[in-house]
Amino acid sequence: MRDVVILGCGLHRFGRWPDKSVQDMGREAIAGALNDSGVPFQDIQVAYTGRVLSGMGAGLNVVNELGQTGIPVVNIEQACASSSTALREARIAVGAGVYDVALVVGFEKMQRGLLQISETTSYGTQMGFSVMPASYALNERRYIEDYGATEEMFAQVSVKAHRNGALNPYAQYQQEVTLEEVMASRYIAEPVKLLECSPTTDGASAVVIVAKEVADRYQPASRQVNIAGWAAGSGAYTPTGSDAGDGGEEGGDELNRGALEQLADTAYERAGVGPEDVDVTQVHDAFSPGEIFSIESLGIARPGEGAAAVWEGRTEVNGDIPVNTDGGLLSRGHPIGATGGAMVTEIYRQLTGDGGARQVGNDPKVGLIHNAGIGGMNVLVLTR
Amino acid sequence: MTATRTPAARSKGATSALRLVPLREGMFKMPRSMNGKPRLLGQRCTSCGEQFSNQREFCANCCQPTLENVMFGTTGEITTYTTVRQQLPGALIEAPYVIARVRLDEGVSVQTILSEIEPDDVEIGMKVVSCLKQVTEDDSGNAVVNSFFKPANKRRRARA
Ligand SMILES: [Zn+2]
Repeated sequence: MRDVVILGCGLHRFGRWPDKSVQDMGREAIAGALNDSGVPFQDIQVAYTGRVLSGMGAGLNVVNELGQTGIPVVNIEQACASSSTALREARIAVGAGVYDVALVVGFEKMQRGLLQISETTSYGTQMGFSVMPASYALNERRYIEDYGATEEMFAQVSVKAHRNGALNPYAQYQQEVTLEEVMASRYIAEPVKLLECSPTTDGASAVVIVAKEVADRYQPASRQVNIAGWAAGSGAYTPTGSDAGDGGEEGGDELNRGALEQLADTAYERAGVGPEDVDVTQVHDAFSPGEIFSIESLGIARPGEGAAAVWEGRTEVNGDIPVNTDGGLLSRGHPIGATGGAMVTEIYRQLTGDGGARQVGNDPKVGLIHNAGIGGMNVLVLTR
Repeated sequence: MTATRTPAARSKGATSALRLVPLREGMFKMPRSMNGKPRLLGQRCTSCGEQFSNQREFCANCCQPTLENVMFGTTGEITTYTTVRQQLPGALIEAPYVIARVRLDEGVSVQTILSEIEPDDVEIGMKVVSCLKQVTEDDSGNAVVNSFFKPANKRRRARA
């Protein structure tokens, strides 16, 4: 397969934008990515759009804001992993030689309050099981029991996220919080607290990718970031008594750690790197335990040591394994369809030295992305 | 035994026409009274031996259509739990309530709601037993019930 590179990214600031449509936000994100990449809209040959809550064919309505060129517009719904899936599909199509230039767009407008993940008449809702943080809470409780971690270590994920978000002009929350404030916020599903939950968010993201062989027409090599590794999956069934799980875990559990480990291995192998080579990482911290579980499954922290790694500051911007330098889902916000594209944007900024006040040191060359949703997860390795 | 002596009717002080109705069909064997222990219905794959706490046509583990129905016992152990403090719209259960993951003695894990215990008294490793609880009432006034779990051993509360 051909090499494929990212040439530019754009965001509409994440937040609550009641007066804006997804077209308004998507248009701004796409215009930003086109400007960043130097690729004119007329050169875009295909668009892949990630979105969940907008109506039928919403992707076309957003892409057409930039002009009606008649290109195929693919609408992808993969819950919170929609736009990383869009990027992966675009990367495969360009890599296969079908297209040279592709646009990836993610957008969402969400309602306030807990994300409704199943029908109100479903068994899971009627019995009160379908509370989104419950699965994270169940796993955090077990982790604390198994490894002697503390609730404060999990709360520290949110403190760190907000510190980074305060430095990100595109973040929903640009305000620091203290450990005391996180610990004092009310429980949603014990031990997960309100300030450890990602908010509902409006926003949009866009990424322009091209075949490496045409990239020099638009940007110098220093602005080209390779989509070197990728892996996607929905989590195989983990039999009762296996190491990977408790058994009985079916469907696309976004906390399927055994599945994430396998995907990470595949993505590293494709990219020809290992977890020790990773300079900066984006993980799916929909709730604060997400960062701790993910960095272990991705191999950048050892099993059982993720909580301590966060507590000791290793995942800070200036730590040895910086994670979610843009504030993550917790502080940057989580407009579900747009989140994967924002993760890609942050890694692109970091690898091209445009991280601003939150730039990681030592000339980063390898970035890692983990974006998970109900029904599938993606791991991406970006290199320069 | 007369109909008026069924515990459901007794507990509601209602007429003999009232029955126990499961929230969802096929999830547990209805005990004869509210005080009985529901046995969860599941499946076992005759090809690979994996057991499931739900009903499917094809085995999730080996993909063969070789699942037979089984009835599990009524006891297990809590492997983890969370106290939900925010009310979920549409839920018949009122917050706060405790969701627990219970590993049945047969090895299968199920998600359940705990009953007859204060959230602060729940512990990982606690032995639990199934029980029947009413979650709502249908249009005819019948008790709509589901299986829950409660501590297997009566424990004295540590606090006064
Ligand atoms: Zn089987």
